[in-house]
Amino acid sequence: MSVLEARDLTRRYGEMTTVADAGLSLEGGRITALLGPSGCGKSTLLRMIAGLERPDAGEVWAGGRLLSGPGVFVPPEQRDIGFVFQDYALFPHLSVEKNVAFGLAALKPAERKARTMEQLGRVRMADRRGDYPQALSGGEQQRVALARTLARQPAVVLLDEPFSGLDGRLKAEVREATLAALRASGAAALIVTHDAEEAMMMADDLALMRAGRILQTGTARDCYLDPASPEAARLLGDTVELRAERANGQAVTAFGRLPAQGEGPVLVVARPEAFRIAPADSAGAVDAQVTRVSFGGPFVLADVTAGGQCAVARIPLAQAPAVGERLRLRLEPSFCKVFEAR
Amino acid sequence: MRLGVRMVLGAAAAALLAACSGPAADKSAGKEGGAPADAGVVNLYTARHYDSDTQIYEAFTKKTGIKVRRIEAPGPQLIERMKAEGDASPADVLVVADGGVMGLAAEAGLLQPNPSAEVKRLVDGHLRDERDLWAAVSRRARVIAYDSTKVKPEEVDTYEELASPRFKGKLCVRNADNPYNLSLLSALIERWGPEKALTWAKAVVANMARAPQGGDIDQIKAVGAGQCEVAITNSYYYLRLVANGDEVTKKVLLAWPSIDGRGAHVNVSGAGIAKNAPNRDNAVKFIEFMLSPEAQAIFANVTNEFPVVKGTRMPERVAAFADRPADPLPVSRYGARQGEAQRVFEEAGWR
Amino acid sequence: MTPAARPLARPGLRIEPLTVAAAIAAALALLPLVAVVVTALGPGADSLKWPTFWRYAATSAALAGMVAVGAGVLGTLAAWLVVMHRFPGRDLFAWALVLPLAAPAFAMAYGYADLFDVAGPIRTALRSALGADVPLETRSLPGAAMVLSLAFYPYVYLTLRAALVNQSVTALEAARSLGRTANGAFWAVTLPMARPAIAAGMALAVMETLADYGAVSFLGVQTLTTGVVRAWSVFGSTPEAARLALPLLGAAAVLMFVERLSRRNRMADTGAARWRPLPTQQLGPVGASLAILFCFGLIALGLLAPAGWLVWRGLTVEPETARLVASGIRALGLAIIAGVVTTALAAALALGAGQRRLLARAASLGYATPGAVMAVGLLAPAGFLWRGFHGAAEGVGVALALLILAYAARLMAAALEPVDAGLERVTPSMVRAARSLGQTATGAAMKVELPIARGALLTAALLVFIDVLKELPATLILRPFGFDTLAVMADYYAKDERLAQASWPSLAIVLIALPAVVWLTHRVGASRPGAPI
Repeated sequence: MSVLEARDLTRRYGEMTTVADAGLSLEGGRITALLGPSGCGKSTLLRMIAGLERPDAGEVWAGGRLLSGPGVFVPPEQRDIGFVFQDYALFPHLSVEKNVAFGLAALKPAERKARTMEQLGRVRMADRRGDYPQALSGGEQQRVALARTLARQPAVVLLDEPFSGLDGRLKAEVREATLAALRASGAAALIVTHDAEEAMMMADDLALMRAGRILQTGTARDCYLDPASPEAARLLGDTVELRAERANGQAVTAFGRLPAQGEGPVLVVARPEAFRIAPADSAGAVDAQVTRVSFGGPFVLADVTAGGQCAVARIPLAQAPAVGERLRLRLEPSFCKVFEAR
Repeated sequence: MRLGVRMVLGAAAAALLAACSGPAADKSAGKEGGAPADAGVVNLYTARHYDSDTQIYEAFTKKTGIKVRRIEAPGPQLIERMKAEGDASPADVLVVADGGVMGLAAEAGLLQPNPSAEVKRLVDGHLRDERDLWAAVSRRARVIAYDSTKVKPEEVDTYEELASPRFKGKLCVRNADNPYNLSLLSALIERWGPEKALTWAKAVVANMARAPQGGDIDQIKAVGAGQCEVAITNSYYYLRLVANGDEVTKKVLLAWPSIDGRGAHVNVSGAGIAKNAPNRDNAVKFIEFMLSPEAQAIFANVTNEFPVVKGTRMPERVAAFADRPADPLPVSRYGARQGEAQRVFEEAGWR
Repeated sequence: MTPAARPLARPGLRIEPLTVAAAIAAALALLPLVAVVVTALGPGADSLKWPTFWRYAATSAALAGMVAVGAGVLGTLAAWLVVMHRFPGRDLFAWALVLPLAAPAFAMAYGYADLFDVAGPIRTALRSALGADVPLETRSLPGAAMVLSLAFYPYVYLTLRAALVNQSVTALEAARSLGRTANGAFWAVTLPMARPAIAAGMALAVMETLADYGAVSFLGVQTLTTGVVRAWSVFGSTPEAARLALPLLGAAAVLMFVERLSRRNRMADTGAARWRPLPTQQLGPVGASLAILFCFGLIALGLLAPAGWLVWRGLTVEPETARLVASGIRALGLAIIAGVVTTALAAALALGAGQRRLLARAASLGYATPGAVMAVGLLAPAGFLWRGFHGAAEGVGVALALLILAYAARLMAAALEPVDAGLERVTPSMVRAARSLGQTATGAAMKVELPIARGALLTAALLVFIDVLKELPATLILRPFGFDTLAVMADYYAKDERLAQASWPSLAIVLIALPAVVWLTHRVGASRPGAPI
């Protein structure tokens, strides 16, 4: 039973359609990442779910109740939905403690205080409760913003690029703490991000978005290995795209064959790690020429050509080739997907 | 600086300078008529601000060809300015609308004796300075406007009656800062002595229908509206309303009270030649012109003041009061008593 | 080619043309104030009595307090309605609410005093209806407070509106997501965050109140400022005038402090979020009617009623057209030149003073100083000039220069505010980049900082322009031969109790100031981070 469901949400600004027929659903206790490039409409989608904007079409359901829809609009303060903003939006005229207590006005003072201190303790900001937001660093502000949102124990928590203002080690630490707090709260969380690696690492589910449309939803692994379209594949990492012709139930590329029914041209979308160095006599392997090698830490990226097609292969460091070397390469089918060519 | 800004600045400066050299010398540009084209200028520092004066300046220039350049400002400010300017002061003639202030200018050494015999002939002794430092050019009286439907003329024929309980809560008058009130009280102090003047002032304050506010005409109108029954006012304000045919003058009439039976408190506008006047001869001519029949008639007709020169032609409304008895106290005494007058007002609570 | 930098005892202090310009600007602004203090501490103020002094001070304080509250409430309500809601006519009201700034306070005083005079139309009508007089006295302390609140609420409205428009929307949305309704979020978050702007606007209104002479003296309210002019013009005592001016200088210092404090507590924009317009509430028929009534009421009371009454009175007399036009040209010319000069000085100060904020703040003291005090302060140095250079007193140029100086000293603060705000767009790295590309500090200022802030410079010039158009006391004291501005003309007639004639020059001021005020409003409304300069 999904805690929140968005159906066919659409939003237009004049001539532009920012969000078109977008839909997703969130489960309690699971973290979903909404991934897409800048300007694809992810923030707008988030705001429609939160009730900060009205959709032009579509519906938002939460806990069996219609929040946004034809003739229905529940204002944001009446939705059980928390929101952590990209700029944290702490209130500069209130102390950290008062910020966190802001949403608890309906509670009795004693309970409000208790809950506030509890949340502050969870994000390890209890000793800064008398400070004002201006005195806090970016990471500290993010923690307070999270505590403030979680204090109300909402069923759904939306986070708009919560880590984009941080970098390096700090980002990783804050991310871990945030995820832990979210899981502990049991809420359904939707995190908007433009960072594919981050999305895959932290989320239980992904929603891929581009140009206002949801391309695919599913687990990170499914989306990565079984993308719904070349576009979806590109969102999650580097791709190598090879044209191929189908014949006899196979798609033939210069680097190998893959099972494919039907006739006509296809586009094979492969991940760089699909290109494996094969033993010299293995069936299906081809000869490829290495034209360039870039060092990437635990692996190298090798530009390879074969039969008129080029690819970038990701090869473990231990097997790194040299420039100009000839390799035997094969395609690993589980890291490839065949699409109709358009 | 951007070109646009430079252009705007240039245009503004040009406009300013053009405007400066314009109407300051005003419409009294020499017209055809035999007057010498460049007879010079006379620099006038004047505290008077009436249309009659503009007419007089124009007439003067038309007759003599001398251009009149003037600064208008309250009397004490003109005095301060002349003091600050010192020897370099370009003032030729100082004209003030209050005898007390004139006296202060004389005491400050800002004036020089006027050699004109005309002036001595035309102006009575008590209306000019003993040292000929200045002479009155017009007169006004500070008298009482009253509600004729509620007040009988004999109830307002002395200034003391303003202090009587008869008028408790029924008196309107302007504030104590005003030079006209200051001169009135100075005259009363001179005649009655400070103690009686203070008693009078306190009683008047007790009689006030409202805290002092507005000008003399506002007081007259307040009488007309029924807020009070008597008001202290300068004669020319009332006569201005008569000249305009204002309704209120049907109900509100002018009384002519007397100080100790000698006559009403009369104040003057005076003119004197500045100590370092660069255009002294023109200054003499100017003052003489202010005493000419033409100018005196303008004072009476346009500003409704009383002329100082006998035999001036004046309209009926002005003539009705022009020869009523006036307290012959030398006007220069007003200035001497001004400090005391301020103290009395302060003590009486007359704001 | 960089100028040789002569190292002085204090490290980091270089003689740059910019610093010199800033120093000159500050000195010019401070000159009259220093002269006032010196005169006040000198001999000669014996006629000033303590009870009188305290009475004036108490009246000034009471008036300032009442106007602070009045203008504060009116301006805040107006900004709240216009920025946070949608209703028919709202776009019109957004700029129209500033219009009362075009009317000089003394003109409003003339209009209201006459309108509510015991013999005027309203009370006469009430008397016929009710049989007794309703004491609606404009010529009183509460009356003056009402008139000045209506005259100065636009300051609060403008500063609050600018703050709201520039506020980040996410704080408001965060409040919504935390359970507050739209109105609740406004009162709990938006308004407190805008409190410094409200305080700054109220400080401006109080400064204008303390400095006002024309309206207050006409209405018979005896404040420190009227005391200053009275001491000088009735008693001819410059030292006494100077002494009465001292508390005004003190109050000015305090108000400046309050105003600058408002700048400090702002949170740095993380700049991450894209700009979104503030969410507005659509008002229903009842709400919209009340909003329209309130906004229209403010404009009517602040401008239309007194101006309309003046027009009505003015129609009974023939205007002196030639004199009106001449005075108008002079007023316009003075205002334009003063605008340019003051803005230039303020820019020099803002750019050159840099870290030495104290210098800039001291130069801003002039704002709460009445024009009369400025003029009195300048009379002493002027005396030197006149006595030293024979015939200099004749010079129109000298007198005009002194007058412009008085205006600049008085209005430096008004110009500094927008110039500072405009220069905030310039980041230190931009300046450093210019320096690394071969510019001196002055060069960087002229070629980088000024062009970026040029919008703000225009705003500053407009502010000064409008204020000088309405200025009276300094002009009265320092103007050269026969040089009457519109304000002087109006005062001339009002003093002679000829309000009908006074209405024409007053209305002329309003007409000339109106386009400037409208332009100013559009500039302030359009300024948003990321908005084109």
